[in-house]
Parts: sequence; C-alpha cells; structure tokens
Amino acid sequence: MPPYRPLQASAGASLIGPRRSVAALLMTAGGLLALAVFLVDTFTPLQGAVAVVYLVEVLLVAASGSRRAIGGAAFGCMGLTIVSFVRGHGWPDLDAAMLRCLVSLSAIAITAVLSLRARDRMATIAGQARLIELTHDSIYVRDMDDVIVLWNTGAEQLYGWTANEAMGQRATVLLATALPGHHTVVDAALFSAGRWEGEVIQKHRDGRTVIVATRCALLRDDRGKARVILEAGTDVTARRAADAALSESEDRYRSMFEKARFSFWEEDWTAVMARVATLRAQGVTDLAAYLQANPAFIRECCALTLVTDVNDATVRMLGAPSREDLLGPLDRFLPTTDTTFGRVILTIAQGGGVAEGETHIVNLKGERLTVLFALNMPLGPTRFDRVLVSVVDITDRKRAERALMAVQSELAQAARITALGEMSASIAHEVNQPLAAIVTHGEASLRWLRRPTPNLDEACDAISRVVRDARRASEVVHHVRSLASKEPRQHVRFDLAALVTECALLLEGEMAQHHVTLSVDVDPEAPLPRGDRVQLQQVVLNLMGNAIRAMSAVQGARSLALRARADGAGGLLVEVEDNGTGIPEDIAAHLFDAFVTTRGGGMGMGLAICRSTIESHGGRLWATNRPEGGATFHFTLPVTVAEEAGA
Amino acid sequence: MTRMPNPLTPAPAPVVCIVDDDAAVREALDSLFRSVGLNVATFGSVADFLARENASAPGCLVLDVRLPGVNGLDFQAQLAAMDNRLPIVFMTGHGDIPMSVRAMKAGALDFLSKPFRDQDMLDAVSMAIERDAAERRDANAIGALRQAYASLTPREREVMHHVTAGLMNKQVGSLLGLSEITVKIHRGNVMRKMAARSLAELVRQAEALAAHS
Repeated sequence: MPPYRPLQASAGASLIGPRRSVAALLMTAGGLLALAVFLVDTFTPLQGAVAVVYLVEVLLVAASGSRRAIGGAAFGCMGLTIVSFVRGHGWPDLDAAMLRCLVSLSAIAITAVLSLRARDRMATIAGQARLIELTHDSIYVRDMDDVIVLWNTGAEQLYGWTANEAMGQRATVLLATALPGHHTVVDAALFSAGRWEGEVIQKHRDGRTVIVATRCALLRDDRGKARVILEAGTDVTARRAADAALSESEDRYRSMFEKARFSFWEEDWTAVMARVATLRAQGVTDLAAYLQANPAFIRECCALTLVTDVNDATVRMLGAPSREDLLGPLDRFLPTTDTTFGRVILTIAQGGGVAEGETHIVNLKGERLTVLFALNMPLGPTRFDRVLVSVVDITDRKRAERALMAVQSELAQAARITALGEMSASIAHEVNQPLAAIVTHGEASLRWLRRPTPNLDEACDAISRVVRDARRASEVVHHVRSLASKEPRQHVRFDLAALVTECALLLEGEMAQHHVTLSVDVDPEAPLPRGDRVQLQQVVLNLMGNAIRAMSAVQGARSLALRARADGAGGLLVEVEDNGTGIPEDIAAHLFDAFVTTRGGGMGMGLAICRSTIESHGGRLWATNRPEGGATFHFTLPVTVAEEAGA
Repeated sequence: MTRMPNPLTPAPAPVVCIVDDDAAVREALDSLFRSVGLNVATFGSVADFLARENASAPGCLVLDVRLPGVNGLDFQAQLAAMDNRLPIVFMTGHGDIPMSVRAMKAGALDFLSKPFRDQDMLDAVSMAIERDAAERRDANAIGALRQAYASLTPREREVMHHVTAGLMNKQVGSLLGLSEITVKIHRGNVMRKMAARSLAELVRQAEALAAHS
C-alpha cells in the first residue's frame, strides 16, 4: 500500500500554483523588481517606456496565485507608474510621454485582468482535480502530444509510477498501452464521439501486465480544439483472471461431463427436497422409518426427481435416440422393485451430499441394466438443483460373474461328486477286504467241520480269524468316521448380520436370475453366535440356495426371508423362509438323511451336512411347512456351549 | 537215444498259488483250499511269487487285481510274455465289466468279485488245475515228439517228410536219388525212432510237430 498523501502535496495542486514558499519568493522577487523599475523610471531619463516592465511583476505575482495579490500588484504598479510620470513631467500635457504612460498603464491593467481570468480557470480545474484525487480510479490526463500532464493517486497505485515520475512522460510509452483494436479505430471513436471505453492491456512499473477497464474522454477548449485526453481506469486484472479461471473450470466440467465414457446425469432434486421438508413440517422425525413404511412415497419422490441433463455416454447406455428423450422424471428409469432410491433420499435429506451403490435401471428398450452409481452435489449439500450422478454399467460384468459363479459351483459340485466317488471306492475296498476274508474263513471253517473226520483245530483257527477280521472291518468304519470329523475347528464369535450380508451378495446373481426378493431381519439385540464361521456360512448359503430353488415353480412374487433373534434360551434362532412348494410329505421324514434329494441334479448331501454342522455346534436344525405355502428352516445355535459341543 | 517219459510215473501234486497283499484274504483262501485237500502257496506280492522255489510245479494262480505296485492285468500280460502258462483266477474288490472282459480275453480262467462264494472259487480253481494238467500233458507229448524228431538224421527227416506227404518209397527214392531199398531202411529207422506203430500215427505226429513249431 502506498502511504497516504495529503492532497496539496500531489499533482493537482501544483497545476494551479507553486507551493507557499515559492509564492513568497515570487512575491519578494516581484516587489524587488517593482522597486528597481520604479527607481529607474523615476530617476533616469528613460521616460516611461520602462513602465512596461511592470508587466513582469504582475505576471510573477499572478504565478503566486492569490486574486488579491494580483489586484494589489496591478494597482500598485499603475500607482508607481503615475508617480514616476508626475515626478518627471509635472502635471500632464497630452504629449508623447503622456501617451507612453497611458499605454503602460493599460498594458498593466489588461495583464492583471487576463491573469485574474486565468487564475479563475485554473481554480476550476484544481477543484476538478481535487475531485479526481478523491476517486479510487486511476485518472491521468495526457495532452495531444501524449505527454502526461496529470496523474492521480489512483494512477500511482495502479501503475506504480509516482506523479513526479509520470508527468512529462509519454503515456503510451510509459504504460506500453496495448489497445484491443487498431489505434486508429480508437482514435476515430475518441474524436468523433469524444469518448471511448474499453479494456486495454498496460504495463505496471514492475513489468507485470495489468488489464485496465478504461474510459477516455477528449477535452476540447472553447473553440473546439482538442486539448487533452483524460483517461480513467480500473484494474480488472484479478477479476479477469478469476473470470477466466471460472470459465475454464466450467468448460472443463462441461467437457468432462460431455466427453466422459461414463454416464453422467444432472438431476434436479428441488421438488423432492421440498416434499421431504413438507413431511418434516408435518412432524415426521424418523425419515428412515417413514421411507421404509411408505414405498409409495419413495416412488413419488422418484417421479419428482428431474433429469435435467445427460451426456452422450448416457444416451448410448440407455439406447435413446437423443438426449432430449432422457430428460424429465427419473422414475421411468428405475424398476418398480428398486430398493436403493429410498436410501439415496435419506442420504441427501440428511445432508450427506454423497451416495453410492449398486442398483438396476431400465433402458428405453425395457432392458434391465445393473449399474454402479455415485451421486454427489458439486454445488454443496444444500444445492438440490444440480445433483450430479455418475453411472457405470456393469451388466456384462455381472453376467460374466454369474456365469463364472455357475461354472465354479458346477465345478465344485463335480469335484464333490468325484471326491465322494473316490472316497466311497476307497472305503468300499478297505471294508471289502476284511469282509471277503470273513466270508471265506467262515466257509472254510464249515468245510473243515464237514469233513468225514472234522478238523476242529483248523475250524477254530478259521473262526477266530472271522472274529479278528470283523473287528478290523469295524475299525475301518470307525477310522473313516473320525477322518470326516477331523477338520480343525476354529470357533470364533462373529456377527451374523455380516455373514448374512455376505451370503446375500454371493447369491445375488442367483436371486436376480430367479427374481427372488430377499428380506433380512436380524435383531440387533440378538446374541452374537460363536462357532466355525465358514461352516455356518455354508449352512446359511445352503438353506438360502435351497429356498431359492424351491421357489422356481412359483408364479408371481418370490420372497425369501431370513430372520434371526434370541431363542429365549440364551441362544440364537435363525429362520430361512420361502414361499415355494414346501416339503413333500414323503420326503419330510428323511429330509435330513444323506442321499435324499428332490432335485434331479442334487446329491442329497446338503441338508445332511447342514444338520451335522449345526449339531456339531450344539444346535438343532429342523424344517416346517408354512400353512400359506412354502417352507421354513429353523436352526438354533447355543451361544455359550457351542465351543464345548464342537470340540 | 532218449528215454521216453514213463506214463505210469505219478505227476507232481498241483499247487494253488495265491497272490494278494491282504494277509487275511491269503489266510482265508489258504484255509479254504487246504480244507479240500489242495496244496497251497501264498505270496504277499508279485515279486515273492516270481521268486518262489519249484516254479515249474503244476497248479494255478489266484491273483488279486489290485496289488501294490502292479496291476493284476498287467502282470497277466507279463507272465504270458515269459511263456508262463499257469492258469489265472482273478479276484477283485471292485471289479467292473471292462476289466473282467479284458482279463478273460487275455486267457484268465475266471474273474471273481470279493466277497465270493467258496464253491465258485473252488470250482474255478479245480478247473484251472485241470486245464493246467491237460496243457502240461500236451506239452509233454509234443516235447517227446520233438526229442524223437531231433534224433533223426537229416536224410531220415527228408524221408519222413516225403512219406508223410503220401509218396511211395519208389517216388521218394527217385526224388532223393536213393534206391528203394535204402529208402525202406531209412523209413524203418524213422518209424522206430518216432515210436510210430503205423504210417497213420506217423502222419499225426508230423502234423502235431508242424502245429507246435
């Protein structure tokens, strides 16, 4: 910041007159000069012509500024002229000396009058200059030779040059002024209209470029001759830079929006948020609960959400003929089964500003796409009129994932069957050897006994080997059983809700394929179970998978429900419920036996393994048919005794 | 001159060889076969069997298909390659049809699934022993013929060849550049050395030799 300068110290005052000390000096010089002229005029024979030199005195005083001083000097000089004349010539005769004296007097009077008029004009200009000083704008005046004659504080601040440095310089050179157009155009405007406005690029004293919004005015004198050009300017460099940055940023946003390979949507949520505000005004405090209880409200909000812009990628993704076909209410793109929109409303209503997840949208051809979306509010979490949603179509990836999962599951099934086949062949061999030996020993012993002379020793040997080999066979069976239960157990306390979420994710593809809607209700108060998480997850997966497949013949809604709560005996009760065909009566009694299946491709091992897993955790697994159709599988997990039971 | 084998000398008793890696099965079969008066030798492995004493004893082989280190069917092929003609009865814990077909085609006498009926096993074994005995008899007869044939002079073999082809002595003589008398002497020697009582028997012997050559 430049230091504050008093007005009189700057250029404006210096235009009207010299400073006070200089004025005094001039006055003194004028006085001395007047005295010298008077002495010469009175005491030399120069006779009156010298009196004209009084003009110099009047002009010197005029330079000092004061009206009274000028008047005083004029009358004083005229008085002195008359005194000198009378002294030299006596009382007047109208002669040549007399005429010279009169000419001198009139010259002094005219000079004084002119000086006074000039003084008044200067005073007006000085007043204007003071006004000029008061403005923050930069103002300078240059004459028609481009020489700077006035330079205010604003100009000092804008350009860095002080008034003393700037005045007398050529303005366009000092400031390296670059006009927006050719200077002749500007000159033409200036001379025809007397003014010109525009932005010029100029140089600061330190060399940096400044952009100045300039208003020029051409000042003419009384006869219309162009005298000076006044230029008032405002530094707009920073504003222009900000404008440029803003414009660039907007351009970048637009360009990203338009050209991105991802689908972008701009949505207007104003109406939705107004609706939510109304709801709150009506006394709804728990929005989450309200949304859960009123799916119709969510649907309504979806219709109130307006798509205001989409990019080309969106047009392609949705197979629309043009972008205009996609603008308007959002609800036609969300399937009626959508479950994510309520969550998004909640997030935005709570000022989250950002929401993301996976959902389905329906394109204009009626195809269902699986997408990842991320919603954010670039203008802040309270600006609902421009909500930006980015969408990635993952339908193909999901399809490939599903196919991969199907193949993996088939592979796993095939591997299980192969492993089971190999194991049973191996067990058969291990058991068959002693069995063969037992039979043969038995038969041999009979033959020893039936000989004409029975050989009791041989018969006894053979029979004792029968006993031995039968024991061996039973050991093999025991060994196989212990092998099967030999897997190390890792009992940990785990969160059932998280486990169920994982299961739901794993089965997501299958559920979508079979159009099954899943509802999960895990009581947060329910005790945390303890056990082998992997095994129990297999149980839940198995039961859910069975339920999904049990509903494959159901027309209409297929709903799978998973509930968990405390069982009232310190344990956990989990129920998996479907609205499928239920359990056939002839199967019910053997439901959990190995090799019992209702499915063509099934091994009939799933439920048998589930039951043994649950029982090894100290729990119980059973099934019931629901009166309204479908089946419920229940299992309990004692929370405290699982470890002992499983060990 | 070689002595003819004496048909009245009793043949060595047949032995049932059992190869199974399971001791209980070996013991059970041992007991079963002894209960019907058969001689038994048991082996836990193929190597033990191949290293047995008295390898030329008659009898049969009761072989488990699944043996440590070697497949019973492969071992069957191995024995055939060694010209060991001991008849084989296969046992298996998990026999399947292709396996039994392969074994039977390769000359197995029977293919029994464990556990088998004792009578089936005894029948199979006695059949195998009979076949072995018959093969050995045939092999012995051919062996004697070969020995006798080997004792003929080259000229006698020529004479035998032409005579059994149906030529008259005179024709043989002119073919070989011999007198009819000389041919007759050679022919008498042939008949004596081959112990043929008639020309018809000599013809049969020639055919048997040709068949087994």
